[in-house]
Amino acid sequence: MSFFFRAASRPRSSQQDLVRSIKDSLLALDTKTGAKALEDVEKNIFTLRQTLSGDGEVEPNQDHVLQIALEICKEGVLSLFVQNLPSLGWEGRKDLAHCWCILLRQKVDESHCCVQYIENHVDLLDFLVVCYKNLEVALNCGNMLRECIKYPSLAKYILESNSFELFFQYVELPNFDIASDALNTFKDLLTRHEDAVSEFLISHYEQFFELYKRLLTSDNYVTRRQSVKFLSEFLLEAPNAQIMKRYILEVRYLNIMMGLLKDSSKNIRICSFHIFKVFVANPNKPRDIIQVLVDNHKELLKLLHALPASKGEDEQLDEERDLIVKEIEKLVRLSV
Amino acid sequence: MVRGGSMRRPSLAAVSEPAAPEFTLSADDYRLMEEVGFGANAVVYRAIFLPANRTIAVKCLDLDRINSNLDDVRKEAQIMKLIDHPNVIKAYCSFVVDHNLWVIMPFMAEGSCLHLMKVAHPDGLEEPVICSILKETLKALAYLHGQGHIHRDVKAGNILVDSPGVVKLGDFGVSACLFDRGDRQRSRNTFVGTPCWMAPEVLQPGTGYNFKADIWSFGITALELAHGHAPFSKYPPMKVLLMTLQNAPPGLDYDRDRKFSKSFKEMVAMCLVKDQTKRPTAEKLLKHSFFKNTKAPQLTVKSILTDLPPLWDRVKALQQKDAAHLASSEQEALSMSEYQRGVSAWHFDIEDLKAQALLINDDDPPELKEDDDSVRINEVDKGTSFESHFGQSTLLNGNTHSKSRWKWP
Repeated sequence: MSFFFRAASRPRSSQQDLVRSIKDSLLALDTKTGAKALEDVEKNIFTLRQTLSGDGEVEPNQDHVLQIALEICKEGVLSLFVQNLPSLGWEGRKDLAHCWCILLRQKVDESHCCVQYIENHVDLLDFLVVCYKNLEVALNCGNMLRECIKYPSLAKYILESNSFELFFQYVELPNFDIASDALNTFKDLLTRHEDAVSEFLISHYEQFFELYKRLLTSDNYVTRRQSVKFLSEFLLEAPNAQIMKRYILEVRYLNIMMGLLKDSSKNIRICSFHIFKVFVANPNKPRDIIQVLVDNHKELLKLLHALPASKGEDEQLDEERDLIVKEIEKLVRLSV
Repeated sequence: MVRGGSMRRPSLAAVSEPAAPEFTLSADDYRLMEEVGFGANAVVYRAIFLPANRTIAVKCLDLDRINSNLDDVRKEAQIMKLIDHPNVIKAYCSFVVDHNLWVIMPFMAEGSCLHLMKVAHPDGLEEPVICSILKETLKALAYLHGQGHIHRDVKAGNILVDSPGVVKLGDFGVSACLFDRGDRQRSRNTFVGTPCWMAPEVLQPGTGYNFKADIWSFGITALELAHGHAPFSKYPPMKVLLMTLQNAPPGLDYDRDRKFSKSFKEMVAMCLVKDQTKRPTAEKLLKHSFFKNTKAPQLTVKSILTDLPPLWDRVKALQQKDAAHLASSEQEALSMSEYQRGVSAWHFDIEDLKAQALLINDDDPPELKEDDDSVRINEVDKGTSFESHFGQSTLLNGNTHSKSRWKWP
């Protein structure tokens, strides 16, 4: 990091001063108490926000922004940010999350210095994940976390860490705003970096889909609806083909989809059809899948016919439904 | 999940402040009383939070009637949690009850300015009253814009009044955050809002949506408060869209507007400039001479609140009038009733709309599409390009948009 040595030999810039005073004020939170220390931190972070994103009139100076990012990494301020976030007030937390997102995007040559810093301090990510349990800071941390997982290395870390399992709890938190934020992050984790995701799903297949089953059968309407919709999206992504093919061989998952075809919500019924159809359409259906389809054909045909009628515009759903109906009828004929 | 010793536990301040919310997340703790508002997919009730015997408002949003994904609902809930300003309605909390999302909000006892006008001031309000309502609204907009939010639904129906004359901007049905994106230059391109209040650039594809669209809507709202209705409100939605694009901007220049001051007219004209870059920011507009000697809303607004029946009776009366209207003249009533309700979330398909606009005929207003099943289904289908993994034989012709993508031998 020759840049640092060169920077150090020069007189301290105002960017360095800013970072230094942010660091000092954050450290003072540990020793000093009272409103004054907090006020200092929040004032500094507000100044940082203005320097990084402009004040509405003046655009930020990109060189300064970059210099600040480098200095912040060098001084370990990112860790202090995360550790002290819960102590900050309402506006301070919002300012901090805003700054975090800008800092992470800063690039020197081809490397993101802040992302590298977090790679070397992954406990920050674990901390941000557990913050979903803290009502006060959950949404701020959610924002910061989603910025992190835009980078493959950080997303991969979370996927494979113990923290990932926590999302299955968080998406069902009773606070709608927090639960849906957690779901949003969960979705990003499972869609942003296809290769890392399919690698993860292959190696954690059993564990992941067992947990996912809980979401699909949740009592919470939103959890059910969102999880079935999301499954219909990511399972059918090209890179996940191998996982999908495995999934549709399993009777236990077929049973869940059949259950969802009966849901009282029309949105859930339609979404589950888009997964159910793949079980049926599979040209290499295992014997036990065929058996379940045949055993339940009466009810299934009834449910398929009862799918909300399209308004003439969605011929595809109608067509697919007809094909699935025919396929089930064929299976019944063959089984006699 | 914290590993090693490097991380500190959440600091003392966070621990000593109990995280338990004041309002609980259980439907049993709330008793729904009268209906006080209604919209496309939601009903708002006056309600009592039983453990504290406190009056609040509960917005019950039927999620199963929202066919698109629930992202907009999530964004609204989150924005309403992350804002804090005396002139903006804040959500205390929100939770799922069966198919519904319940949003717990402060109860604004006098309802919206639109309701107040419908009930007692059908021809509009007096200038001092308008001035204080607009100033409070503008303070709300200045705050929201500073926070990176576009409200997207500024109108009298969304300006709520509480008994002592407190004025707050509510309902973020369709608000969006510009700061969410990686680059700030890119504006939102989605097409939402309520036609009478929509800025010309919002109706045009390609040009983005930014803070200035709220300023246009604010100008329209000023006219609405002055006349009792928004300009063009008697026309069907499609015609409103065309008039907004083709006509000169509306203003306070009729005979009946002579009673209004020059500075009021000037302020409105500044907001209703078609070129969005020439419109002032909310912050700038607050410094306009019109707002210089604004009286406190507690003084002015109070004057229009006397001798009114309780909000729920007013709402019921309006609903009945609405129904009667619908029955009498279907065509006109449709657009009028949408207007009166102040439907908060319109979702248009812009291509569709443009096509319809070309065919527009005054006597035959095409229906606007709101949520449609097909929209959602298409979304799901984007993800169904899995067939190829089964091998060519089972599959279709490779044209993903072909109607007959699914074929089995």
